[in-house]
Amino acid sequence: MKAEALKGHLDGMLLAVLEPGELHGYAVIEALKQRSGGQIALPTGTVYPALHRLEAAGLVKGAWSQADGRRRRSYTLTRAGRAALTERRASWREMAAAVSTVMGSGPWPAPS
Amino acid sequence: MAGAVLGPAPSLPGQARPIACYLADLQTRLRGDGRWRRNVLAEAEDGLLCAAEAHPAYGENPALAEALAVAAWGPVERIAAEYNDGADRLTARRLHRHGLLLTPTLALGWGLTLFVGPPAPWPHAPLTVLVCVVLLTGGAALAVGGGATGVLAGRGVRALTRARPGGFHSAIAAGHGLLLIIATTLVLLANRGIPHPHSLCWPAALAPLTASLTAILRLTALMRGLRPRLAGERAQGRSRRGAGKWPASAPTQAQHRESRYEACPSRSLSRERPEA
Repeated sequence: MKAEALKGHLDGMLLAVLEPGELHGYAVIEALKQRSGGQIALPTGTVYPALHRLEAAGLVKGAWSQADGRRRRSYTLTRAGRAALTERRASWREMAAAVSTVMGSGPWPAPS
Repeated sequence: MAGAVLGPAPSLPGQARPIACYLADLQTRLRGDGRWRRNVLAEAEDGLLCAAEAHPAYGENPALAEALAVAAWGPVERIAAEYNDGADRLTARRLHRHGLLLTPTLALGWGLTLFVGPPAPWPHAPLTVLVCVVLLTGGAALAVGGGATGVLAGRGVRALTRARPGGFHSAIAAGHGLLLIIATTLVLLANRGIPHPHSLCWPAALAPLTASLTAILRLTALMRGLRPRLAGERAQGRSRRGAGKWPASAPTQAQHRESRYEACPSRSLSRERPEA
């Protein structure tokens, strides 16, 4: 998937990846790749500034730790982050349903 | 020596250290205060090393794995710009907080100084004092209004909007408001303290005076830090061509050969220990 198509959705995806628990920066990148089945191929360096942006907004909380002799920063969702994720999910579902309907593929998600 | 930067990474005598070169380049492009820059570099270094170590080629050819990690990381100009955006937001946030917290603190400090000191040396407030009161009111409105606007806009989902020039303008407003308050109080101090030095309790004035002078230095440094951002936004507003920039997809493995860091010589990256 082209990075341009992901514009505006990275923050929401990062919140979703952090939902299960604490992850450090590279683990977030790996989780993004894993969850998307390798479809998401962003320049990996862009994930870190995005995490900083989320932290500045109070949606994630960062903490330093020591791993393999290196200092490592890990991130967890805050309460505001969980609320933001819920909001992002809802708006994404609305948008995806509307676009899918207009594009002619029927309502989304497809009825089972 | 690059090993000092990269810590436990395997030593590569006579070989290039692409990650060290990339970090050195990134270091020269970062804005923000020293502590923030050190933390950014430490985190980027950890991420790049994780990416290199995760590559199958790492065992046999660490330099190749590093070059691949650097190539997948993204162009240093783009990554530095993204980090600098974060630094600008942090600076704006600090100005907003100063606007909200320093205004009542200074008011309390100078209020107490007047309260514990001798009575005013004049029966009716002179015109200078009245004008200064008007200026103080305006400065407080700017500082608190700018600070409150920024703090409210800078939290939660709304803060994620990429183009949010209002946040930076409110930070500058808060900074100017505070500087106006401080300048006015200094004028008031001089207006009363120089012709009537016995009309003030100078020991009590020492604390707010020191706080005011320190605040001037701090505020001007923060506002100077936002100058490139505001200049960039003005230029962007004029050209209307800034939108839509987004990093290109991660390069393929073949593209790593074009990486300018692959063949760069080992370079030292001056850096202190990152701070928590």
